[in-house]
Amino acid sequence: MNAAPAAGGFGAGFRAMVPLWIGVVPFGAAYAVSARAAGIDLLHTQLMSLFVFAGGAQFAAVGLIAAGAGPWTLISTTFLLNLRHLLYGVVVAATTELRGGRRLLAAHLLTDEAFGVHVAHGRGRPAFLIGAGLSLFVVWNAATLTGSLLARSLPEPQAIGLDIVFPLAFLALLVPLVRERRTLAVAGIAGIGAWGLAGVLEPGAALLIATALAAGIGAALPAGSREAP
Amino acid sequence: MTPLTWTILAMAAVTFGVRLWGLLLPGAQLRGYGRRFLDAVPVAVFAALVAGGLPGTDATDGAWRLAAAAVTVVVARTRGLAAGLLLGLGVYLTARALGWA
Repeated sequence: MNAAPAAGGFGAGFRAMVPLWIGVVPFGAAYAVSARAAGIDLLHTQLMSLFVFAGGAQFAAVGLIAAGAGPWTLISTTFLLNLRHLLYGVVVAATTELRGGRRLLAAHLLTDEAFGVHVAHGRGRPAFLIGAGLSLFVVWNAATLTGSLLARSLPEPQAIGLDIVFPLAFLALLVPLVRERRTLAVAGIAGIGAWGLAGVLEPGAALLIATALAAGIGAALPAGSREAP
Repeated sequence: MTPLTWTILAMAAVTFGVRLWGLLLPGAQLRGYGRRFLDAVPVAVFAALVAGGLPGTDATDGAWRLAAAAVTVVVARTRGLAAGLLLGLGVYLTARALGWA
């Protein structure tokens, strides 16, 4: 991992997230619509977006609340789903110096998407990470509020084909990183592992195990000098 | 505060704690296998997010494969996330409209 220059980058980080808004807006609204349908009031729907700020965990919580689950089930599921963020933090900390208030802010804003654009375009720049994270935070919360207010009149993202945005966005972030055979092998193992485990485990656990397995095997492989096909 | 408010705050604390825990670990000091492991994490995460996000969506169809091919070619050539994503989405929606799903 080569660190980029450490100065600046808040605006660049904020703008780097803009293409992903296409996917964030309908999913933020869909989360709110689901939450309202599950009987959660507007205030608590919004509080979850403001304080938890983790899309997958929020959707899971809505489903669990609708099913009558208790607080400990919600909290433990949230922990399991977000455990992968531990790895994100370690990777970010290895390349980007974050201290004090910036580190606390980054901890709140470190989502899949913020990690993705930071690794792809902003390594070594703490302000880039904060900008990217804040960009997502603002849009996610605006979409949540809009979804809560217009709950009865919005279509599902799947109905208009926008559920595809996130897999495509992560593919676009992945492609530039696959530079040689070792990274190709890591991507293949992680993809197959996540695909195979998705129907068996909680999504967060499946992703964490597939990632750890692929990175562990990849780290043991000899460094590749040949270009990936 | 209601029980749901407390639950949301606990969910927030768990999420924040996990993220902060990672940021506090000394990844920069790692060498050898540990360092190579961290270097491989972004590739593994993105691949897992792509593959893990597919079950349950309409993404296993022909339209998805066409869109994925378009994104791969554009991003490999231009490194442009926005261009690749917009083109991929356009290809996907067009292919779906044409009945390739």
